[in-house]
Amino acid sequence: MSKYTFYRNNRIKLFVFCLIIYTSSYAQVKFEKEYRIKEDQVPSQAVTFIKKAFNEVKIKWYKEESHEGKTIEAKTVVDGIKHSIEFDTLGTPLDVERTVKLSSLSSTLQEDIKTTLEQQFVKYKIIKIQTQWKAADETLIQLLRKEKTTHPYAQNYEIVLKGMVERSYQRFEVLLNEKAELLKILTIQQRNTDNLDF
Amino acid sequence: MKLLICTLFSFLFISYSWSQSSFSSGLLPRIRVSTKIGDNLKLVNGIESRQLLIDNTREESFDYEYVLTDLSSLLSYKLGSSSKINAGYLIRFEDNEVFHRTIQQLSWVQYADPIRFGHRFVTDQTFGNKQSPKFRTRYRLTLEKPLSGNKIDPTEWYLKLGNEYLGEWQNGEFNLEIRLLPFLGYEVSNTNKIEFGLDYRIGSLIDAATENDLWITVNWYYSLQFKPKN
Repeated sequence: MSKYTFYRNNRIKLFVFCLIIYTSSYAQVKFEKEYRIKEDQVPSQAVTFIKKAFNEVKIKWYKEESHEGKTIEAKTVVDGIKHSIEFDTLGTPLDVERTVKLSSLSSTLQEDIKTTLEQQFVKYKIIKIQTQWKAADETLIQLLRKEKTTHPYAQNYEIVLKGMVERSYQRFEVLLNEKAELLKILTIQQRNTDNLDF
Repeated sequence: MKLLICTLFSFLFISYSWSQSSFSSGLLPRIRVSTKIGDNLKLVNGIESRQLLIDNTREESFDYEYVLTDLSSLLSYKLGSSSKINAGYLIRFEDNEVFHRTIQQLSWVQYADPIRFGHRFVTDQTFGNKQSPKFRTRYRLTLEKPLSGNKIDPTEWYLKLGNEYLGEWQNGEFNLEIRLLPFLGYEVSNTNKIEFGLDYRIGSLIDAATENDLWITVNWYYSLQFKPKN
């Protein structure tokens, strides 16, 4: 190895060492995590709810930890429709979400959703729509089994979209009520894409 | 058993490559550090180095040899929520010679939960004192999938598979290279990722004798986050 090469190699090592020391002082931790769990780790109340609501479907169970707390989630596909049922840690159902197409909603509702979103974003593109049901346990079971119910329930729409705000595009989660009135907007923190771009 | 099959497959693959054409293998660590410098603008600095361990065209096939070091700097402008246009410069130190490369890049990410697809188009131009200018154009498709759950969260592992096609013009001659890039990644945090894997390159595909390069790679991606002053 020539003197030139030796000097060059060590200069690079020194640069990398300095870079590691410099960058480590800026480390941040984001507290949000979702991971698979087995059925025997799920509260029995949640398992019983699922057994009452569905006949012989494959369920994937997840535990989600975030700054809002811990929840349990059951995910399944029934008749080609993705279902997600969220429970608290004791197994009490919180809500049921079903993925739907915009075109499957009534034309009046589609127009109302469009009007609400145009008030919030300069431009937008819808990525996913989920109907969200919030009700008592037995009512949710009736809804999931496509049975008629006389009990009250709330039907909201959770929309994930790409939206332009102040000349910058971001992803948002928008919650609308059954009249397409705005309930909540959350900015989705996108994962860094450097490992796909460079 | 899986380990045995992988070892056997790797052995057969290397034996085949060795006997059919030129084969080289070594280490290729990469570091990419990005810094946000505006609402839609960031600076991405990189360093990578190649060290050769195996080369069947040398007298001593198994020997350590330092090959090169690249330093790069790219300005990245966000066009939309998932697309970017990037341009920059790379300086290469190889065989006591310095090469200069200008780079133009367009990339975008498609989301198909739980998978992310990354697309990248690049054109670059390389200039050196002793060689004719080299012009390249390339496209890379990358797939990224969490190994647990529906999305990749901090402290979780993921799989990344890439496939790149690279056309090269130099001295009026055209050549083609194909790259396969399997990686196992670990998300330390949203700003910090590390990936271990292979960068397999099949080069000179237009020529009679193809070149096989298998680089054992470690990628480290770090995003610097500066807190705004109050």
